[in-house]
Amino acid sequence: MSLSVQGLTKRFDGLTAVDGLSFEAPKGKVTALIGPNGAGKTTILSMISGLMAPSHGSIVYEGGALTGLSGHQIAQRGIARTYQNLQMFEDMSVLEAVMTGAHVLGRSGPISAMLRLPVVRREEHVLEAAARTALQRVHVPQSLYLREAVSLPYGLQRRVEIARALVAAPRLLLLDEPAAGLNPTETEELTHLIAGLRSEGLTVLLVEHDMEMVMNLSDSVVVMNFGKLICAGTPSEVQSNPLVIEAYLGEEEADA
Amino acid sequence: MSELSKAYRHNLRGLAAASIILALIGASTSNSFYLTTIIFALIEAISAIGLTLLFGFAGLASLGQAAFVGLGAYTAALLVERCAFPPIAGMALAILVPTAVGWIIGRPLLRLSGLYLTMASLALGVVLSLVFSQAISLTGGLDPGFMLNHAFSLGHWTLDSTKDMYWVCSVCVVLTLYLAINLIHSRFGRGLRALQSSEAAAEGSGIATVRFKTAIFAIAAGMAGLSGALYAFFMRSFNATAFDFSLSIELLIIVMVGSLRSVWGALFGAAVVTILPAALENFSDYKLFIYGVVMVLIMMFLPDGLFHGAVQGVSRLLAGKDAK
Amino acid sequence: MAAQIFVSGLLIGCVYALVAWGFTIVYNATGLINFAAGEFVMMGSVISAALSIKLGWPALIAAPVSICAVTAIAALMDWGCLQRAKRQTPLALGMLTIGIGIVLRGAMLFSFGKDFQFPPAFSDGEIPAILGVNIPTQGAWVFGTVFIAAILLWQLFARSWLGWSMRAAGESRRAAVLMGISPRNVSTTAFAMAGAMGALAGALIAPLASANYTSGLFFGLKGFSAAILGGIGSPLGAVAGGLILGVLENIAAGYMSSGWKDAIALGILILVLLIKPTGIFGGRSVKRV
Repeated sequence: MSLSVQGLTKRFDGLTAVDGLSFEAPKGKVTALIGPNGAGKTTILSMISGLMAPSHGSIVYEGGALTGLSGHQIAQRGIARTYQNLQMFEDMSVLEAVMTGAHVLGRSGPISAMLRLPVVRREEHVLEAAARTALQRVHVPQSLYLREAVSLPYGLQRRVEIARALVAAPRLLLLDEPAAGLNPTETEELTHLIAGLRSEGLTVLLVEHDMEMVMNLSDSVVVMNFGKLICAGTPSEVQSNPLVIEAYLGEEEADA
Repeated sequence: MSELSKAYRHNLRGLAAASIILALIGASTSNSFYLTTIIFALIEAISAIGLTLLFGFAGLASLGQAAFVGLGAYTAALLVERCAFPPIAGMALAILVPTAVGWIIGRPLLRLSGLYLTMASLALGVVLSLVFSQAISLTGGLDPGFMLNHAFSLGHWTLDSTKDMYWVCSVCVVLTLYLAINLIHSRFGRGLRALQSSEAAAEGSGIATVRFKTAIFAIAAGMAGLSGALYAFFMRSFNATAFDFSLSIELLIIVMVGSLRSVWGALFGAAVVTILPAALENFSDYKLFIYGVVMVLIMMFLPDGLFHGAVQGVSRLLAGKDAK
Repeated sequence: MAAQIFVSGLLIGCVYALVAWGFTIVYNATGLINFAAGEFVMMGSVISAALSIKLGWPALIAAPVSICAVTAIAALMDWGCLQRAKRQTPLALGMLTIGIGIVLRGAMLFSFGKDFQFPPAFSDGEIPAILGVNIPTQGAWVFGTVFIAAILLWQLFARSWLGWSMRAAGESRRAAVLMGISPRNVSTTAFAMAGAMGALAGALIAPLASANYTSGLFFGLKGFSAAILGGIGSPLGAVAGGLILGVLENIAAGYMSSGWKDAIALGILILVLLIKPTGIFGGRSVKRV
């Protein structure tokens, strides 16, 4: 098992956002986490990536507990993430933003940086190369590499964000609504990309609202609402589950 | 492969140009008043470079830098005057002591965010300036202040004339700029800049945000300490009022007037902030008011700094189209 | 002896409380830190001192006139500068208030000079010692005025439309706009109130502490410390913080050299920030969305 979440609970001042949730994200597979808005999905991702501490429960990854670790320590374990509201770095070019994502590939600290020791020079080359590879992977045109990252159109920024997550060769990728705001072509490209990453052995935990994408792509689906698990299984199992249909009834009518 | 390093080399070329300009100024100016004004600008620029890294790049608004300037000044002065340290060693410790203090204070301080951090740094700065003025046996306080009988010297060369100190300060400014430019164009530098936009995403990229903030806080403190040492060696006689809250404010204004985004702005801002009051000397009572009005206008209409605004204005003129 | 220290502490604490409260009103309405808060106090002192010393006006006329002037200046500060600044982030605007503080200080300098002025108290006569505690006449004015002002303000915020709309605008700009409340007007009103309260504090304390163009910094610092001690965003906390700070400071001054006295406020501030940043009365979370 790659990622194992047990009895995960998060309470905020009286509101229980996540309530005793348990699921697995098997190695090398795409696991989707779905549910209506406000179901607690992003909160779960925030707990896994270390931005928030759970009130209760455990998160275990590759045999080691993640609870209690800080965000950067979790990133150093090979877990990367994209964000629902696009946390792109400002005042940086596309290339620099992705190079920042490659932080863990480097070693130099402020002193070596100030003195411009050879290790820093070599490192810059390595980081730049890794960034370029990642950007090519997500098909961001080379002509845009030096443009300010936040000046790019939304769809491209999303891709840059994914490149930033991929550049340090993570083994677990947490995607928070990556298809939000993308047009059908872009969504299809994204689906291909994720499928490709899976075939390379990456474990993916995907939070998404685009049902077509979820059902086509996922190996297993976890459905939640009001912080609790509703059901989990293969896409077809989940699609025919009456509880799931009920939870989504409002959403479906709105989306139809 | 080298587009990114172009920006770095650009800055290095700028550094070379700045060195040449400083050298020319030094060779051609003998007027003591002008030199003194420029020396003050150079000294403040060094602290301002540190604050630009801290505030402009990492987004940490510290209103207490004057404390570190004072710490550097008194460290150098006490070691040289009372413990017979060679001035260069005094200067080295004037950098190291504030750096260490900055590191120690930084760890708990930087767990606070935004406004709280600013408040805490403000309080710390004022507490330390009170310590400087009250610890009379160590520092001479406000009156009589500290008297440094030894001038700055390197080995056998005594560098005590105004012109000599101009060269020393220029060299220090160039070195500080070099270190700052190197820092910015590195993994550490990018991490700092990431901190400001999104701490969450920075952590998610493996950047230990608290450690980074503490490190840059310490580095900025060290640079402020160097400023303090230079001030002590130049003035030879000084008192605690030099390191009070108004200096912290002045440094912040230098950074805001200069440029939040570029260490070159620190030089520019320091020049404006030092030269403007000197030029306004004739207006005596109105000086403070005019100075304030100029600052307010710049902050209102050129929020990225005067330097940045000037650079943009020039590029637009040269390019003839929108330069962004 | 202890009682004297306590009462003297409460006296200056009333002044700090007014400053802190004004500071809190601005913060609650706009999310901004007004670094010029101390200058409002300074201007209240300096203008009323100038009116009563140079023009010979009775204190009870000089003070209200001074307060009106500062109120107008504070409102102008928001309307004319803060609202028109190109960059509207809290940080940029906070820095701008620093700059405006310098302008105000400079204006007071060339208008009224560098001297420390001691304007006369609001009324003559002496108050007999009560239980061994001596209060200067002006001190009675301080206590009385601040008490009345506090009640009036409390009623204003709890019961009037103005109070409600300011609280609403502070909680959610958008909702306030939808209800016909203009955030800009609220913001200007908040600054005007802070100006009035600061100036009142300044006019009240000038006979005791002197009036001078440099006094703004320390009043500002004490005001911030008090506001943070009490819990930023909480008016009750601001008042409590001010009073507590005044008393603690006085106790410290009684046992240490007065030079270190000012360090107390700052030391307390640092401690509070490190241990419980939300202060005594909690208060809303700092991150304003």
